[in-house]
Amino acid sequence: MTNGENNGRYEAYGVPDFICDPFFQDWIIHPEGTTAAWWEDWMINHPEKNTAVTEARQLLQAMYFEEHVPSEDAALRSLAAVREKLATTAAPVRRISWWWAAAASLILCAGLGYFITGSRRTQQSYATDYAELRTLYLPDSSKMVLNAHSTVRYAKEWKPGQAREIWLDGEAFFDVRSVAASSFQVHTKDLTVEVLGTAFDIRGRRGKTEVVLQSGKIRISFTAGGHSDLVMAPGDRIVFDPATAALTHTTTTPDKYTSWKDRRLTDATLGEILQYLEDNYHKTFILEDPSMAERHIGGVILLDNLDDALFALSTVLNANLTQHQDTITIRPR
Amino acid sequence: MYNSLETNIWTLISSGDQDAYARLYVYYYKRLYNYGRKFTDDPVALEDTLQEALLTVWTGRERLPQVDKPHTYLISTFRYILFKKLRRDHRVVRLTAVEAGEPEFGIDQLLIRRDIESALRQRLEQALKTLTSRQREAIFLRFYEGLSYEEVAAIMGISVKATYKIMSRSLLQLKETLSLPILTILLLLRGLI
Repeated sequence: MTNGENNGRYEAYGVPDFICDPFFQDWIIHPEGTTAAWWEDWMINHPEKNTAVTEARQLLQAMYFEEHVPSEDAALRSLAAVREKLATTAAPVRRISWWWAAAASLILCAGLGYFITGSRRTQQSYATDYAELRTLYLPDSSKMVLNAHSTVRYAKEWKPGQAREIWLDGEAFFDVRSVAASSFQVHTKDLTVEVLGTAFDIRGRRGKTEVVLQSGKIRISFTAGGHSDLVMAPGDRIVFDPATAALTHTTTTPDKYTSWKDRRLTDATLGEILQYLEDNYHKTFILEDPSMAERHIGGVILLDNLDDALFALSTVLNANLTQHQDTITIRPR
Repeated sequence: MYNSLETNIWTLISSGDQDAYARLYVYYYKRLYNYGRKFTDDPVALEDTLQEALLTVWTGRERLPQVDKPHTYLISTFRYILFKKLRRDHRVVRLTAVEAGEPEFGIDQLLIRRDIESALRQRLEQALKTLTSRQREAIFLRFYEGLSYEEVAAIMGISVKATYKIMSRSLLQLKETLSLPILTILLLLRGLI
């Protein structure tokens, strides 16, 4: 729309017409442009429109948006991560290295220094793909089972007397060897678990961090203030939601939370089972009847194989499951 | 707020200029982050989306000359990836809650300037709350990002006609609150006379 063809029309305009007119809006949006010059000129010739124009301008100028423009540094760190991703060629290596680079820049954005990666020569990192479980033996020969779509990083060498530290994103089960020697710590984005002896499960998914202790004793400390340290006993389960800083502390049957490492789920609700399948197989589930999510599925569901799990669910729920690409819809029969 | 970019930046990138890509990366990183942040404050989702969207510019640089409006195209690619990611991350919510809606353009992201007279400001703020997520997003793209109606339409995946409708409906909604008191004052005066 050019000024010429609007000439004449604007004389009949009221406030509502002005605010909805794109050419008028351009005056507010680009106050230095040629449009602005045109309008200033038009105003001189139409003083009777002064009130309407002023009111329209005031309304459009009254609005503004919350701004969240990141720093130059944040942008440069992100660029460095992407460059690294472009530079590395071998597929598996690339996946891991860029992820860590990204994590480093992210956490820096969040203002936490601890995630900065060390040199790759001294650091070991693993990332599991969807549907992949991986058992790892840590430098002190403690055992760790990394669940699907999770990432872990730790130093290749653990020096005696120094803390044994692990950085985790996703879910893992730990069976820790002798604790006497030096402290064993698992860091997630929002909290740190310090092992005072034992087996436990950490789950950092969907923004929340969940810790379930099977045996022994662990201490939790939170990255952000607000919650004091917490010592957990076997059967304890905590869930921390960083968005609200809410902390839930309950007791449970640990097997229920750790059985995924044997690729099965015991006594879970349908919602929990679908969450696992989504996280581990990269699928999206749609429940036609959302109340089904609360439905308790007794017994054991095997997670080994997606098709088997789906078949079991359709039988137990008496429901039809239809799959379209990565989305699976569950409809009661 | 953002340093400006040279007009031939896309041509430079399509010919393989890495420095030009770096300049573009930093520029759009800030700009798109600001936009995406209106829908989520999850730094992981934002960073992943930014990297993914901006990476497509470099990996697809040879096809850039065929892209009609690379600026609009990049914003809409970013939006598409972000929405996909957010929908996926909010699956839990969907399993338990009823609706599988679109990501929300935060209600607290659109504000009224403080220098506006306080009674009027309150009324305008009240009116802003009645706008939908899509109305807020359209206003953002038009008045904050300074995009044309055609560009807003392309990014939001709606027709230009629908964009006009959304925009004027939102603005008139605000206008309503503005004119109401003036009307009352007039009636009052007439009554006195």
